[in-house]
Amino acid sequence: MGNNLRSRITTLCVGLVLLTTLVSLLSFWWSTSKFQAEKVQQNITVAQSVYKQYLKSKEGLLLTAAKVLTADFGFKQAVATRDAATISSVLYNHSQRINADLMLLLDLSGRLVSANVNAQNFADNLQPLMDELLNNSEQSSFVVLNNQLYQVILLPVKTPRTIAYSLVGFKITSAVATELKSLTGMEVSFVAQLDDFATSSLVSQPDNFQPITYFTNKTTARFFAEYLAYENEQIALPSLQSHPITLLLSADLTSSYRDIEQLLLTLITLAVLTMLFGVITSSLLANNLTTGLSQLAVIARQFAKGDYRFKFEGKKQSSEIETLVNAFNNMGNDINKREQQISFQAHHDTLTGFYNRSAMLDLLAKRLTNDARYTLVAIDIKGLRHINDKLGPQVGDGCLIAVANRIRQFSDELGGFHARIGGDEFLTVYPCAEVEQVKCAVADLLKQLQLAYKVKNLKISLRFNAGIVQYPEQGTKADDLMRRVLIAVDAATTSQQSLHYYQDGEDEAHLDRLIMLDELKQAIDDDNGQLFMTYQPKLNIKSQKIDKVESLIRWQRKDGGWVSPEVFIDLAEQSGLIVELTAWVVETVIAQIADWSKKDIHLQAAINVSAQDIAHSGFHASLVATLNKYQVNPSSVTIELTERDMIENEAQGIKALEDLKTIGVKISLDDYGVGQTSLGRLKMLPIDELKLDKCFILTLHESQKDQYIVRSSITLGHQLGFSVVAEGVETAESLSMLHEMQCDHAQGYYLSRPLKAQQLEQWLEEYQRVH
Amino acid sequence: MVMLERAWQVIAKRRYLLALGVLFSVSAFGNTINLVIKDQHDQVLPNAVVEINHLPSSKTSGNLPTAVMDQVDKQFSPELLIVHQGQYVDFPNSDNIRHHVYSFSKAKPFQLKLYSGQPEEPIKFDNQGVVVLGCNIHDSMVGYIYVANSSHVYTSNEQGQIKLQVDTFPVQASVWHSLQTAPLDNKKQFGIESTNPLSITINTSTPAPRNTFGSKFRKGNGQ
Repeated sequence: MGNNLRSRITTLCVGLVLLTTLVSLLSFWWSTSKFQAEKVQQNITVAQSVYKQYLKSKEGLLLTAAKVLTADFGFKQAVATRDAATISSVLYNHSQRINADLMLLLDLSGRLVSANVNAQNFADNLQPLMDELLNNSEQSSFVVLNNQLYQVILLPVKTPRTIAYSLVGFKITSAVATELKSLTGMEVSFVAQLDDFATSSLVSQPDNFQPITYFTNKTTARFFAEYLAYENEQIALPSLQSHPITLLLSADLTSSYRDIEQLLLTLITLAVLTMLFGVITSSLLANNLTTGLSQLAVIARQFAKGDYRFKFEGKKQSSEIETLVNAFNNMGNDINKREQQISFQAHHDTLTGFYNRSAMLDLLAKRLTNDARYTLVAIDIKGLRHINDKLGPQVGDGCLIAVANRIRQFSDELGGFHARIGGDEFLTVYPCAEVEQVKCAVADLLKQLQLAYKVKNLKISLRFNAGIVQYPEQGTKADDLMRRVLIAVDAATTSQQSLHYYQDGEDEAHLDRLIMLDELKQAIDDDNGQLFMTYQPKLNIKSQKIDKVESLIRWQRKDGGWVSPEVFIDLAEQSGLIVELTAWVVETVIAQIADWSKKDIHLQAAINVSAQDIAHSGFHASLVATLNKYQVNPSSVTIELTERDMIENEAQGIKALEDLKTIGVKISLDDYGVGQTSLGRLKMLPIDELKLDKCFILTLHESQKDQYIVRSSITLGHQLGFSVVAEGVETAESLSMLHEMQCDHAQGYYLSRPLKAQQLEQWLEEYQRVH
Repeated sequence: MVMLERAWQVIAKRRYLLALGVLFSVSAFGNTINLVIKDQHDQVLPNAVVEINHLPSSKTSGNLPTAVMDQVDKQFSPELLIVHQGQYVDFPNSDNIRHHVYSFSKAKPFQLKLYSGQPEEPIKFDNQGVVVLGCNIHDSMVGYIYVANSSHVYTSNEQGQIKLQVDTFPVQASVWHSLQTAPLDNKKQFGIESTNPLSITINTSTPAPRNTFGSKFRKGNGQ
């Protein structure tokens, strides 16, 4: 039997029927057996009283006969006169009259005087018999005489004193037993074991028939085993002490066994039928129940595979199954709806309804066939972030939708397809054969897009960058094309052009940058000397002492090649790695300051940081922690920022700088004079130092204009409370001019190129020795 | 007991007969011998008959009076009657029912068919011996007539005692009792050697209870 519902129901039904049947079988068998046993016992009891009655009536007959005989005066006379002939004839005559089988006349000493049958057959002296019968004179007794069983009664012949005894008896033959059998309904046997005599009512007697042995041992083969065929009752009949006579009543049990068996058979048949019925009905029931369920299971599997067609075939089901079926149907529909929705969302941009980037990749992969030619145009909305920030995201979204609509219109016209591949980036792909045609179409597209949009009653003009890639010339794989078109649009953005056609090799450069970035990250993590700091001394012009340095990072790659700091710092800034890089620089420089401090070299070190660093929330805390770690005075550290960096995120940046300033860190404005710092902004910046860009210093001694700018800048700086540093000092003349202009510090190759810490120490030693 | 009492009353009634017996002995013998008759259980036996042998009666039968064996209340009265050889016995019927008195004894078989009152004639008992009397109608009636040939006949009293008168020794005597186990005709012989008191033992059997069959018959008829 399995574990399924169907077999469980069937098992339960059949089990219940079986149990009921077994219980009823057992109880029927028990009660019937008991009833039959009681019936047999009752029959035996009845038979006992019947046999008693029968023998009593016989006894009565005997008594009458004997009484009549012994009271007969003629007989008495004959006995008294010992008239043998008369006695004999009287005995014969009486025996004929009452049908007595035995009539004996015994004298007082027990000698046989006369008999109604041949006297020769009897023992001469019957005194022991007579004595015992006399002692037992109240009733008739059973004795074996002459190999025959008799029921006898002994009566005295009195004249008036007893002069003789008369023994009257009936022969107990199989006829008597048979008669008793017909009265009692049982086999009746008379057994005188000691006299080796037995007679029985049994019709077909086996050889060497011994009633007691036969009846007590006879068995009958029934259903399960051999059973005793008779229930026996042995009754001791009144008899001589030394010659007991037993009456054996044997009730034939065969019919009662047969009755029980009949009943059992009937019951078993009924039980089997009921069980069959149970099996059939329960399996029908289970079938009805489980067909529905297994169909539902099939449907559920079908649902799992994504097939939501609902086809339920079944006859009338129970209401619960019906409910389940309906629930399944609804579930299928709902899941289907939701799946379509999810699938749509997975492949589409919710705002514009365009494909998303991954769906676009799939679609591209499908569409890229050998004979097809496509143009991929990636379009980036410039400054969408500003619109979001200033006009709210709803307007931003409205713009996106409007742009999308125009792109769709354009791409649909050309039989192309389109996707939104980033926050403000779209991609349209359309079939296009000729290069001229491409340029024309793209120009047309940009023209269309740059027309003013009306969003939420606002008239908005948007500017775009577009990158263009040609299939199959510039890539055959979907992801390559996608990457390259993005590179192209990035290039357009970076180059401030509205259009950039992808050039072969840009992808590889891009890849190189990626590899370099990876290596840089590795170099920061490993800190194995690939990256190291150099320090360029700053001369305090007034005191002619070296009291400041600018720390500058250098990177020598594993292969020994040098990477320009501009390149990798730019890369780090673009990728966000700058935060980690700056953290490394800060740690290294501060550690160096602490190290120098131990060597009694007291230098203020300037660290270049980017706008991203200042904007990074952890920068301040990290700097403080590092200062604490190396027990370095914050005033020994100067943070150098370019003008450009200061302008980005102005308010936030100023706040962060003020915080730094509060703890004592000096702030220096780097590359002053070439950026966009207005004088108005300059007065607001929380700076300590102005660092004049080297373009003014390099040719200071030759250019009058530079001298004016530098002189006035120094004056301006001083008047705003800043100290001023001149960078790019390469000649003694320049230095002396700066001295004359009261510049505070000078830095440049004239003094020293940037040096590693150890070299710087040697240089310092040398410098101090000379000066 | 009741029956014995009744028998004794009858005997007392006929005192003269006993007186006669006593008279014989006193006149014929000089010595008195005390005899006690007992049964095998050492119980005294009344109504035992002792006869001294070889002394024929001096009286002739003709002189002997007619003895009477009456029937009262379906009983012979007396139960035991001692007569001499040749003596007549009358069988009156004092009951108001009929009796059929008979005897199959060798000494005197006879029968007096259904009669009431006085039968036609008394019956003469010629032969010595014991005559058992019965009634064909009433099986329970038993009576005994002891026919003696000796003139010296005694019966034991209630104490089983007999005083014998003997002149010469030794003498042979016989004793008989109705309940003796020996055949009824037998008389136990014994000798008397001296005047010493003598104890004689007779084996007896208890008389069978009356009407044995009746109960059995009723039972046999299922009542």
